Amino acid sequence: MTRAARAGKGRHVRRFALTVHLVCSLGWVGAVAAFLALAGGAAVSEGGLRSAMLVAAMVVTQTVILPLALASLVSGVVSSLVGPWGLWRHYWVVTKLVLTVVATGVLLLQVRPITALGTAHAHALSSPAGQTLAAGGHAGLASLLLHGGGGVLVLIGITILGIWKPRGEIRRRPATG
Amino acid sequence: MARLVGVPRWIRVLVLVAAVLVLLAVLAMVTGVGGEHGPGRHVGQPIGASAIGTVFLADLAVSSAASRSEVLTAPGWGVR
Repeated sequence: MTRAARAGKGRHVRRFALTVHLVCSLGWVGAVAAFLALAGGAAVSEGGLRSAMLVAAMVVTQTVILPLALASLVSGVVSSLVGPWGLWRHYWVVTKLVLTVVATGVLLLQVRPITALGTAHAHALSSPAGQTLAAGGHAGLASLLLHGGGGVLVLIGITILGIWKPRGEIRRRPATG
Repeated sequence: MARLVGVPRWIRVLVLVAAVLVLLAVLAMVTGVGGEHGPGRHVGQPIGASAIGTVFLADLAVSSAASRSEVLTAPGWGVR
């Protein structure tokens, strides 16, 4: 394979990795925004409508948000490694990685309570005894709103970092003495 | 051992903001404002065990009461 062919292949790989990363990352932001809308709607709704929104929030979390978050993390690492920026050379790349890992970690911790709430309300929709749960308080909704809102802000921050690429190259100086 | 040099100002600001947020989160957990955040909240029980269990128990009570009612009102049962 000639040098030009290798360069062309490398460019295709870089573009593919970047495309996957962009789709997953921006999809993640949109999905969390949809989750936040559902949690907000559940907070101001009552009865079966609230239960339906919490079940939808659970489904969105399990089938869209979680896969996109993991894919965004992996594709981001791959994209930086095959791209011109590197993984540990620029502060903005490292900051994006740290924020993405933190956001994914918080998401993984939230999946269980969200699933518990959604499953309970799914049962409430089809059970006479569960109607008391659907008609009950807003327990757990404040946590959903807080974590969802914080998640959207962090993800927007990550997006801004990726677009602006603030200056700052990581340089190391050997310790003296 | 190498030291990082020339850390940009925006990184320092970001680290400061993150430290304040972490401090607030810790304070919220310690004072109980943030609710239970220990391992018991996320691990140690099956998914939704408490909430679903409560609903199932309530269902069981309702269906048991309905069954007893049907049995007691069925022909051949009740007051002779």
